[in-house]
Order: sequence, then structure tokens, then C-alpha cells
Amino acid sequence: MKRAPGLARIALALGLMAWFAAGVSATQAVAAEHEEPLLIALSTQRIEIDSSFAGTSIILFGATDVAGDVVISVRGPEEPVVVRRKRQSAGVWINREAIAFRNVPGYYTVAASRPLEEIVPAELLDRAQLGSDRLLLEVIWFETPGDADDFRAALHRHRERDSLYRSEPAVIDFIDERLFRTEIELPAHVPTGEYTVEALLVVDGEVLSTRTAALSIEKGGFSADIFAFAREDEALYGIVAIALALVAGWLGSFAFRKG
Amino acid sequence: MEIYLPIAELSANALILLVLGGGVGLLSGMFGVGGGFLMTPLLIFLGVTPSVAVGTGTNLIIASSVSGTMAHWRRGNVDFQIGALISCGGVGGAWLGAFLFKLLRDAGQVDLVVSLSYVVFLTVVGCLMGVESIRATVHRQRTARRKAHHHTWIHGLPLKFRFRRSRLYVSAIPPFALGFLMGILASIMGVGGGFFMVPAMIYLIGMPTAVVVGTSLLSIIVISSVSCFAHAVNNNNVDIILGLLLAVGAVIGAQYGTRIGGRIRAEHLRGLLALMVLAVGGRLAFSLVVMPDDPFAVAPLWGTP
Repeated sequence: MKRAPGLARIALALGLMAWFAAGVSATQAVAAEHEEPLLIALSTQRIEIDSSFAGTSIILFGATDVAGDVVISVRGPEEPVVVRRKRQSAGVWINREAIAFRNVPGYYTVAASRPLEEIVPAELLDRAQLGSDRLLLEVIWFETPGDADDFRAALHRHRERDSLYRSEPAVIDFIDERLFRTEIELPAHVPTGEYTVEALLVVDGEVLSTRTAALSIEKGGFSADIFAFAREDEALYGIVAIALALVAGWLGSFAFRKG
Repeated sequence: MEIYLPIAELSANALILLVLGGGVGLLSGMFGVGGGFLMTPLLIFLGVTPSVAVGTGTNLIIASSVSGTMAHWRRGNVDFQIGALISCGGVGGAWLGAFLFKLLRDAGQVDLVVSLSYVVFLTVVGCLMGVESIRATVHRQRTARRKAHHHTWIHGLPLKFRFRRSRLYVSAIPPFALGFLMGILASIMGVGGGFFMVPAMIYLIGMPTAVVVGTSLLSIIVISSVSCFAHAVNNNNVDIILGLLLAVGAVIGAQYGTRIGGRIRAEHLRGLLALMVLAVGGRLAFSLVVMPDDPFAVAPLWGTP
């Protein structure tokens, strides 16, 4: 019973922080009634990508009830991906080999309070697929005599270059012994869809508590309308595109004739 | 000013896109080419996927060709009869091209085919034009007048018509076939095809140089429109925002380009165009042959562009 008032205070502070950050409702604070020794809240749960979107970062606040380490993973929407390899033939570099992978997350980052290997046993890291290097990339089909690991490495390299994966865990700052925060960086070309944020509280190599939060990244405003228009009403979109181009050309010609 | 492009799915600087459109528009007005053969590689260089670069290219070419066509129309430099014949062939070719493009994309070979097509066509056309330009410059000093056109097997074809504006009596088959080929090129390469159409009109059909640019621009409007529509329906790869930004720059650039082009002698103009065509072709050939920084490429398995 000695624990409860402390947790309530922490939850209140957490709720206030979240509220100040993005006007998140107090629903998180209600979770304080549960027995879980870990709590998390995101500064925002929904991101709209509009025409001025150039990347953003969101803040994750959390509180723990016991001293321990925290590991946070953010996993973007999954889709099958094909990795192709060029080979030189007759002097020209041509896509010759390919491997398709099932359920590749479009975004994946990890944050940890200490180096992952010091917090969690290797076997558990693999099982929980913690760290982009440990993502399970299952082969659907392949057209190569070579090793799938080369293609996996290439996939990681590309995603890391585009800031969509990071192999080095981000830092988790502890504000005091119980309160922590971390920043989740989302680049300009972050894929749209449903994201899962998972936080683990680890004490002595054992996961004491797991919390998840959902983050949704959607195309918003004008650009979302255009995207939907282009997919759902293809023929009309094509006609509008032609009409706009014709008008743009005609207006330009007209303006210059006057001038 | 960063702006998010909804179909290309990336952010780009609007000012850079306007300037890029302006530069390409200037050249397009000068030479009577759609400018797509410069724009497609430049867009890919900016990080736009080849698919969206080609689809959006067809959209941009419509806009940049309208202003050019109107400028030539006012000067009476458009042969509407031949233009209509080329356009008819182009409609079928553009649709077939967009369908082939979809097949190539699914097979993961679109980048290669786009680049190879550029290299082949640009090199052949550039060489032909360069040689002709040099020959014309040399001949000008010896003979005051050139023959209107040479008689070849083209003139043995049936379905002959009289084309008044071009002062020609030739078969309707070559313009139609030329349009069909242009349509395929427009859809696969994202070009108007002016760099190929202009010399073909001069050397194959025998049209006078004065009406060639205006007539080719008019045909390009029709062909690009059909190609743009076919891409929007089959490949979802036409980005209106990207297209419009480039178009605004291109339209302004094209007005100045037309004025500059009018002051340069025709064979010199062709010589300059030949140099530009060869330079782009050479650059692309180089990138195909030189070892890539990374031989691996990553793409979604299902056909998002």
C-alpha cells in the first residue's frame, strides 16, 4: 500500500506532461488504477502528413514503479518487400537476383536505458525481435543462388540510410528515478499506417511489465484527398490532371501575350 | 519552402521544382521538344521513383507544350492535317506503352528499360542531327538553295494526301506510324518525343523546318494527354502537385525559349539540340555501365509506385 500514492503522483505528473505536450486526454491517468508497474504516454497519438510535412518527432513519457531498465520499440506498418541485386552482363548492370521478404516493418527503432545486451539476455532479444538487426525477415520467394543474408543486410542498409531503421538504440532519459522520456524521430518520408509502440520494464533480465501504445500516421488535409482521389477515381483523376496542365499552359501563354 | 508531394510520397523544395521546370521549359521552347528527356532523369535524381517521374513527366509535357504550340500557332507554323494524323497514331501507341510499362514495373526492369531506351534513342537521334547540322552549315556556303526534300521509298507508299500547309503530297502512313511509335515512347520514357519527332518529320516525311516545331508540339499535347490518362488509370503514378509546380516554371521558361529560338539559325539550333541530346544519352550510358554504389535495390513487392 505504500507504493500506491507514489504511483498516483507520478501518473498525475505524467498526465499533465502529456496534456501540455499535445492535449492528450486524461485517459492515461486512469490507467494508474491498475497494478502494472509501468506506464507510458505519447505526446501525440495521431500524426497527419500534409503538404508541409518535413518530418517530426514525438515524445514518449513513462513512469515506473520499480527501479529497472526500460526498452522501447516502435514498429511501423508491415508489408512484403522485394530486394533486387544488380549483376553486370554485357557491360550493363541489370537487376538479376531478387528475394522477397514477408512482413517487413516500414519503420523500426528501439530506445533503451542502457545497451540492450546488458539489459536483456540474448535469447530473449531474439525472441522479442528487439533491435533492427534482430527483425525476423522471412523469405517468401527467391531468385538467387546467393545467400539471403546479403539481401537482409542490404535491406537494413537502405532503411537506415533513409532514417527508417536505426541499429543503435536511442537514449532514454530518466528525469528522476521513476520518470523517463525519449524522443521518437520520424523522417519526412515515414510510411503511413498504424504504428505500435511497445515498452518493456526489465529487472534482472526478466520482463516485469509490458505496455503498448498505438500511433497512427495518416495522410491529412489536401494531400490525403489527392492521394485518395488518384486511387479511387483513377479516370477522373487522369482527366483533371490533363485539364489542369492544359489550363496552366494556356494561362501562361495568355499572360505573356498581354505582357 | 518544403512541400509534400502526395503521389511521389516525399517532401521537396517548391522553389527548386519551379526553377527546374523553368530551365527545362526554356529549352523546350527553344528546340520545340517537350523537355521530358531532361526532366525524367532529373526527377529520378531528386529521389522520385522512375515510375512517378515518367507518369508525372507526361503531365508536365502537356502544359509546357500548350504555351509553345500557341506561340507557334500565332506565327502560323502549325500543319493541322499532319498533326491530326500523328495524334491518331499516338493515341494507340500511348495506351500500349502505358500497359507495357506496368508489365515492366512488375518484373522489376522498368529502370533498366527506361535508361536503355534513353541511351539508344538519344544516341541515334543526336548523331543523325549532329551530322545533318554540320552538313547543312557547310552546304549553305556553297549553294544558295536546297531541295525541299529528297525522294525516297516513303514516297512510294499508298494513301497519298495533299498537305497544303507543308506543301507536300505524301502518304498518310508515315505520319500515322510515327505517331504510334511516339505514343509508345511517351508512355515508357515520359517524354514528348520531340527530339525524335522533329528529325523524323524533316527527313522521313520531308516537312519544311518552319512548321515542324509547331506541328510536333501540337501532336505532343494529344499524345501526352492520352499517355497521362493511361498512366493515371493503370499505374497511379501521376503527381498533380509535382506536375503543376514544374509546369508553372516550364510555361514561363518556354515563352522566353521560343523567343530565343526564333533568333537562332535552324541548323545551328539542330546542332545545339544534338549536343544536348548526346550529353544526356552519354550520362545515362555511363550510369548503366559504371559499377553502382550499391548493387541492391529495395522496393515494395506489390505495385505501389
